Amino acid sequence: MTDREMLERVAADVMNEAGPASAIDVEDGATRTGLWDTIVELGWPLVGIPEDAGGAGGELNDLVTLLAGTGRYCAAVPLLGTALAYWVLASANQLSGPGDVAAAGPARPDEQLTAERAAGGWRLTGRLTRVPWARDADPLLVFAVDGGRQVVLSVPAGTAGVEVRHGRNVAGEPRDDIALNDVRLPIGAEIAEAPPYERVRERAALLQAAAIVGATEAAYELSREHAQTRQQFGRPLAAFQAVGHQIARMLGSVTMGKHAVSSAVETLATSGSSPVTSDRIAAARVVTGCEATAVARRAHQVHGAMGVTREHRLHLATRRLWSWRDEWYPQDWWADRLGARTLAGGAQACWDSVVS
Amino acid sequence: MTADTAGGTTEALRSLRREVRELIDAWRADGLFVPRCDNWLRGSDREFTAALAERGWIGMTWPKDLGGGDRSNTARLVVTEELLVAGAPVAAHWIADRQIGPAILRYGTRQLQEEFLPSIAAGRATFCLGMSETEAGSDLAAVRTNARRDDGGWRITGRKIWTSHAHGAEYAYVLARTDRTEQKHEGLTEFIVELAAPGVEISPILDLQGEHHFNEVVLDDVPVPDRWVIGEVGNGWNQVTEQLAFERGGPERMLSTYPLLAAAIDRTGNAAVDRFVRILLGELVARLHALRRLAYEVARTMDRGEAPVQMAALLKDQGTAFEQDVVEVARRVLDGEADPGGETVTGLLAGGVLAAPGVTIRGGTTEILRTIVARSVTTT
Repeated sequence: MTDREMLERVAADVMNEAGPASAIDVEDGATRTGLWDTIVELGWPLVGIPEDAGGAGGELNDLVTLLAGTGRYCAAVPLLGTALAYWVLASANQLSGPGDVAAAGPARPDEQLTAERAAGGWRLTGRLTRVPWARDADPLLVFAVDGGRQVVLSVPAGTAGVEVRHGRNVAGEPRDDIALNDVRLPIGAEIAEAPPYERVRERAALLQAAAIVGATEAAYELSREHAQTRQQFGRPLAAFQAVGHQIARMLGSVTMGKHAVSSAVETLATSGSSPVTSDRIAAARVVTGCEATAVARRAHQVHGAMGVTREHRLHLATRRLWSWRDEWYPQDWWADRLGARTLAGGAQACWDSVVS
Repeated sequence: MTADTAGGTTEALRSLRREVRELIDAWRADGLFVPRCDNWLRGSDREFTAALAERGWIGMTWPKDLGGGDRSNTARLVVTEELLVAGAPVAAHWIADRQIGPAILRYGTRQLQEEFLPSIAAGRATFCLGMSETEAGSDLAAVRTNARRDDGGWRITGRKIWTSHAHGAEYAYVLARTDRTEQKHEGLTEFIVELAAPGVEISPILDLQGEHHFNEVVLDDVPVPDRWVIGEVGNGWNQVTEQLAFERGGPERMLSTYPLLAAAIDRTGNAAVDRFVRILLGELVARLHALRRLAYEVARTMDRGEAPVQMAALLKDQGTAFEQDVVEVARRVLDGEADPGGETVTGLLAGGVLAAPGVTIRGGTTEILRTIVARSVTTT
């Protein structure tokens, strides 16, 4: 068994049953799940951060495997946002041991927050929307702008002037809007030497793409099983060519997403930040978005009426596909960006990037 | 980063890619070929084939003592994908290089390997595929062409169709029935047939573009020596199934229309473009990144000595859909009409439009591929 297979096995053991249970509990309003407690205890949010920076060690690919697992097992846990925030802190040498839920924002395009020095500290204004699990985040890392420069401020839970409005995505997961009304923070709230927002956004998009791939696998596996067990006209659904083709096309979608993500992970891990890395991450985000839509549609078609109810667990996967395909920036935002870069660079540069 | 399993390095592959580009650029600059969609199927140019053979780029993965280069499938991917994106005329040797040589290597006797592989690698022996018949397209096992034993050899009679470049090739690979059994997948045998042999008649079939690459090949009691049986008599079905993995898993299943995509990108350029155009192109490029990675994994699987039947089928399904989508996106973003006489992007668009229907049919229809994949993951 490879290291990755072992990690997949661990993820399965931890989340196989607890994942779907967490999805249902969170949607019902649970503020905490046993699964998240376990995940924190196991140190998953610190995976991919070197030990000497306060992390749990391991590679980016390990974190990607765990995120894919959250999709595969339909888990409602703030792993992506927490891991992202801890990585920002570690990159700035400010990770002081494991904590609990954390988040970083903006998580959507065109949200500009303003920070200015005032009265021996910072003054922060603006609005963030749809930040995953912001209600529980401690800290919330806010990427703001002071004049021309990026300022990253760590906002502890309970800070005065921070107004959180609870919301949820189509999968029932917390997605909160935050109004920052003249929020005052001490000078030490700045995370100097934080990575540029563009890098944070790309890392988030890559982790999101990994989670989407996991969810496409969940929908595919459920469909494959259903087609072999459900019988109509005296035979399993899979015996009908039309249904078999739906299954085959779903596997094609899963495969495309997997390869797009692994290509991006490998490039980021070996080359760091680069134009090719940016292309590959955008590609992974776009491909997984497209395939999420295709897989959700086909999975429901294969499952028939049972699948469009809450009696069957397919909805735990497909509602995630519909939500996640446009989170950490909408799919079309990434396609637009990749298209613009392609046009600017020309066809030869485009091909060079593909084969780099 | 990654290593060519034949002992090369990423740097060796980069250097190989540069050399291929240099040759292509020189030929293009001298006006010796015009980039076209689908040129790997349409463009037969024996001189170009010879130039590639001279550089050791035909039969690259075969053993050196059989005329090959002992290189990995990954290295071959680098060469073939550069030829494809350039729309270079590689049709003459493509079939032999891609699947006949590998089939002979996998199943042929040493004698057969020595007889054919060096001359294929030298660009002297080219092949066409005698598989399809009027009654046996997707249902390849239904072939009626038969072979009977005769005086220590064989005599083959039948009619093959859609045989691209039979009119220029020296040899045909022929799948024929040697035994009538109840199971139609048994009793099939693979042969090499010399097209200059008595009893062979080739006539053209014009395609949608009015071009001649398809043929009908009539075989009337054509003599074939016994040593030109590939593998075992009666084992043809198992053997050809593996050959099809080689046929389906290559970059020509995603890059046939790339010359059009490249032209569309460069024609659209940096001018004020609207979001719609950027998104359409961005989606295509995103898929291209994923597809190329998949092609790379297929090559790596072949380097491990496996025949990636399922992965190749998935690649061809996804890749050929991409090829068709390239044409439709180009049509929508280009400010011009498809012009069969056009010399630049409008000509490429016309070629792409007329080539597009064939990509999801040839080499295994999309429907067959999906059935193969479905069967590999479900039991009913």
